[in-house]
Amino acid sequence: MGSDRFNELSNMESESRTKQNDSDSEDTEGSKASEEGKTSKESTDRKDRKDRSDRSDSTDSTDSVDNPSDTHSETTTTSTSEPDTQPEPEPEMQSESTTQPTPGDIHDTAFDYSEAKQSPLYARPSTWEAFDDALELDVERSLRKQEVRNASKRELHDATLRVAAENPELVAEMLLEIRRQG
Amino acid sequence: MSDREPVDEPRAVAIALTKGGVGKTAMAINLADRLEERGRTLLVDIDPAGNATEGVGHPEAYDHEDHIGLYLQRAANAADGEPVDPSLDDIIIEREGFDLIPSNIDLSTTESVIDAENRFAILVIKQQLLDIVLGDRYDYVVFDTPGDSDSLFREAAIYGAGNVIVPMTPAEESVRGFETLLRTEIVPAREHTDVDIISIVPNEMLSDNESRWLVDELNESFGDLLPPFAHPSLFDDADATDPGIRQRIAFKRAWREGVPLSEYDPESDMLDRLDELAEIVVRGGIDGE
Repeated sequence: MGSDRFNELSNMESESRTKQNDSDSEDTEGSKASEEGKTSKESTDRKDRKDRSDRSDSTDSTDSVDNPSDTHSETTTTSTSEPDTQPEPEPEMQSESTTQPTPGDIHDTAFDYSEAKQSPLYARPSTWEAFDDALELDVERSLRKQEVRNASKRELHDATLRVAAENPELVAEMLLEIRRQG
Repeated sequence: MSDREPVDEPRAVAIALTKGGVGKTAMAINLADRLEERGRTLLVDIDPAGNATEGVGHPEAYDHEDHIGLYLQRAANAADGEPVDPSLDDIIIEREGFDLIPSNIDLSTTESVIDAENRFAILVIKQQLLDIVLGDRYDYVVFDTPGDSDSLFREAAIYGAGNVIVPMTPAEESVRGFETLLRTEIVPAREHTDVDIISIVPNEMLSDNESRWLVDELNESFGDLLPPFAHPSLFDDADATDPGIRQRIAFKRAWREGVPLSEYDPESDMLDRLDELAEIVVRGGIDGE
């Protein structure tokens, strides 16, 4: 998707707006059908359009703020000041393939265990609990929708840190929010 | 509802996109809250999911026996002047701040019945609601609409209100939802009535590449519909908050507590932007009608 798509939508919108304005300028008795007459056509059109429309667009009908299940918005307040240590093996490593990840394949791990660097994060137990629940209940569910079932802990943690790194204002907002709550 | 003087130009607006998960509900609630500062405002939750109803603290109304769907169904079949049960008074919740017509667990059922029984179903919100209350009882009416691809009530709200605000998140699905909305509802409606997109609002924005991409593309192709607070130049202004309605934890927290953002966090930096959006509604467009 790129500018062409937006240009096409812009053209569609402005053409129909122009027609609407043209119609307004000719708005005299008789130039418009009676309201009921128009509606009769519109009512029919509605069903026809729906038959033609791409119903695949309807798969997600939940607004994000509308999602009360999102109860894990307490991100971790972290510190990475501790010296680095060697990573402990992840439990799932035992069952993981030893072959190299395939770049670009979402069904393969993004990076190998040897590339991971462990660094301690400090957070309250309740935050860790919420974080673990979020990963297990929400993140992994989203991944399963994409038929990805082999996300390793290091990938989940790596993605989590990237989200925080790319959204500093959310991290700052959360920190302030936590301080305000005391 | 208060006894304030009516405004010169009452206006109804539908917050609409044929896609869920773009923050329509938070925008509708907080726009209604900001509009209430400017005139008597009614929020109508015509999304059968009922999230706006819950988000303004009235989850109990979702299970009421009387509801907007039943009112519209019966009003559409009533003779002129014949009383309708339930009446509009029965379904409007008068609150401190803006008033509310809540959603209901049976809204989808009545929507199907209205669609099947009425040749002129698409006019039901205009004739049975807006023609009665807009400019008389309320100065501003805001509709929170569902994201489903086929929704009579969304289409009827767009048709009746004649003004649409499109919230878009930085994601391909949002663009597809906008395309569907244009192609299947706004463009065909314009064959018969005036429907103006008064603004496209980048919503739930972050500072990532996708957010930059969205405001750049919108600015290039829909610059006249982009509010000033969503201009891409704000990315380069060190003193300004980045463009759009930002993704803020406070929006979710406010929803959970059943209050508008202004009540949950009166210091929120998004309130100024929501006020700007309210002014766009008051004017009928970015630069006025």
